[in-house]
Amino acid sequence: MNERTVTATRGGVRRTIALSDRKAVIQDRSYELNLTHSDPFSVCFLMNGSVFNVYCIRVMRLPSGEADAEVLINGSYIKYRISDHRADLLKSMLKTLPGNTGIVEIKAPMPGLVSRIECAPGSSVEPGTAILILEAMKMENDIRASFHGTLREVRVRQGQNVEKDEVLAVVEISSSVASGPEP
Amino acid sequence: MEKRIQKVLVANRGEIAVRVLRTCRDMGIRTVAVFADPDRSALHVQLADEAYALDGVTAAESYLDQNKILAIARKASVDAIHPGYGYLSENHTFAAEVEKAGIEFIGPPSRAIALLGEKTAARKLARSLGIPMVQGSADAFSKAEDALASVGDLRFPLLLKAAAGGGGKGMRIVHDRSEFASAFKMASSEARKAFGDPRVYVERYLVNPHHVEIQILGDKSGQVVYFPERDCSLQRRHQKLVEESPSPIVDSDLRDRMGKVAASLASAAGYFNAGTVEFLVDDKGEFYFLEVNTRLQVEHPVTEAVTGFDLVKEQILAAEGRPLSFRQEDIPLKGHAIECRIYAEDPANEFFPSTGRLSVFRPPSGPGVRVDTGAREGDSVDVYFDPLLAKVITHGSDRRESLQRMSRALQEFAVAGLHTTIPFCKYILETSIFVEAKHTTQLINKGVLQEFLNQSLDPILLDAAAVGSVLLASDQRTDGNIAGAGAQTAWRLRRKEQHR
Repeated sequence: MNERTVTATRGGVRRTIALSDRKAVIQDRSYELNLTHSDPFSVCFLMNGSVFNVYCIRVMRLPSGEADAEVLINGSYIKYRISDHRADLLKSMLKTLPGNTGIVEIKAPMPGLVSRIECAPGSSVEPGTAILILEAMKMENDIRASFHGTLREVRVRQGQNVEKDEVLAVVEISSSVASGPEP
Repeated sequence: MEKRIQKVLVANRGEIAVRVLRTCRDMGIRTVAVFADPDRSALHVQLADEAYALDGVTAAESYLDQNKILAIARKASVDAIHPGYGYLSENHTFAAEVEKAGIEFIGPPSRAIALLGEKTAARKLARSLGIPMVQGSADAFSKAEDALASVGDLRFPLLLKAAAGGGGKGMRIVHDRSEFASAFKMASSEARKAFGDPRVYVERYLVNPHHVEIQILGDKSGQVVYFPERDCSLQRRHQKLVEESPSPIVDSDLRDRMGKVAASLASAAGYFNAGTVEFLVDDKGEFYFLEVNTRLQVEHPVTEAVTGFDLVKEQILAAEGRPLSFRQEDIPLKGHAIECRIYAEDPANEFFPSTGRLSVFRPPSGPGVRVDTGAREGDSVDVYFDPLLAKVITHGSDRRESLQRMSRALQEFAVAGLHTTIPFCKYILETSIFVEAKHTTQLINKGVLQEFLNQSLDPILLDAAAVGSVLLASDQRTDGNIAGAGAQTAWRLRRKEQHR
């Protein structure tokens, strides 16, 4: 491991983290670090002698270059937004682009059956607006918008079976951060 | 009329199929598994003596297809079928077909399933026996107008429930008259899809009750015993998440009264084998009959933990026609047990099902811990079936000890690749409201979910999680790409390749 500095943000609190082979410095707190296990899905380490087992639930890369990491650590769920200097640079460059708007495709998070369309093209949506209902795993799941905007298109019809990642609807964002709300 | 069962077909999948297979094998009974295409390499197939393909992908094409299952039962010459829970377990037509084929259905007689499984008929029977129940419509309806007319002067909120229902499907709370029609439509459409019966009945909705249920067991000579109650008050979307026995709000007097009522209802229905009578208990300790589940329950292991019985073994013995080998007073109540259901769901996203590959899956063990699961590390969790991954059951000398043991077990449970209810269960079990048993069926709401997401965690744990997140996220960064929206998929593919 080479020394590198990244930031991790949760609940509006940003932590600057510098990692080296045997040390983690988080803000002004310095820990002795001893990595005891590492595979693509989990890491185990000692921090000042305390044992931590961290399992990767999901890592999601964002268009901004940041990543959302969701982990299971000692039985607790914690989500961080991870950013490095490169992502920070990209983000500040994106901010200077005119009109922070865009077209976003809403994709099926899993295969399922479109049981109902809740929203007509042309209507405005806001975070939490149900666009349609996808039936999967015997449950009806609301597919919601996560930003303010206008529903431009619904690409599926009621009763249609859809695959994972199939585009369900298209929304034009009116105001949003390109990377979504911070965890 | 005792006959020894030699070979059992388990008409189910996942953890319950595995659990039933194990007891069969404990008893020297040969086992037959059936499987849908996605379950070809599932644990329940590997643990069986024989296995047959159902040649289908969805539940309807496989575990719900009575004809396929009956054909396999005949072909494999089994002398009994255990239906598990869900699927065909409460289907009286299937039970009758099994009986007709000269095969033992390991469960109640088809006529008792028909009688008690139809919610309004069960309520009529209970009313005739003087069993207390929540006020509601005497019949079920398929039209909102008729249902509303039947309600009369019942005060809102009301609860709509599928006549043939269970598992929270086809269920809606209606807060006032204006919501009735649309809520009814949704409940009825869900009921039709889930159970093939659109009829819905209405009852007064008790605010903040405890859900308490009594396990019963009967033999074919008509003897019925009851077991210590289970408290299943911790629910989300009307589905149970945590169950315990005994209930922290039930004393021995209430236990006996509820038990006797449950047994009397079973006797009146001509019931035998295992079943569960569900009640609501209000804050004054009054109890109300809810419904009968004519099958083995998901949460049966907590009863096994506090009484020492193997309920599947008792089911098989009862199906063989043997009289109960113990009396009511021989059923002990030892300590306290609790069960957490570990679902592949994301509590941070309103319990949305989470799919993917279990890249790490290491259940806990040790003193007082039992884990029932049908999953293994490397398995894929897809959308076709119920997202229940595992049940963790802990037992202790008292509630405090079993709760503490559950915290330990959940902390040990290692899962990567999916969201699960592990952290949410651990959080909720450690809240003072649960520790002090002041929770009701209404505990899990949006507020609690927000508190879960914003809970204050140990600062060192937060620092460690930040380090862990950086290490796990940077692992994907080695290719140097600042990738776009498709990156998650690409990342998943890469992981798969590495593990081929």
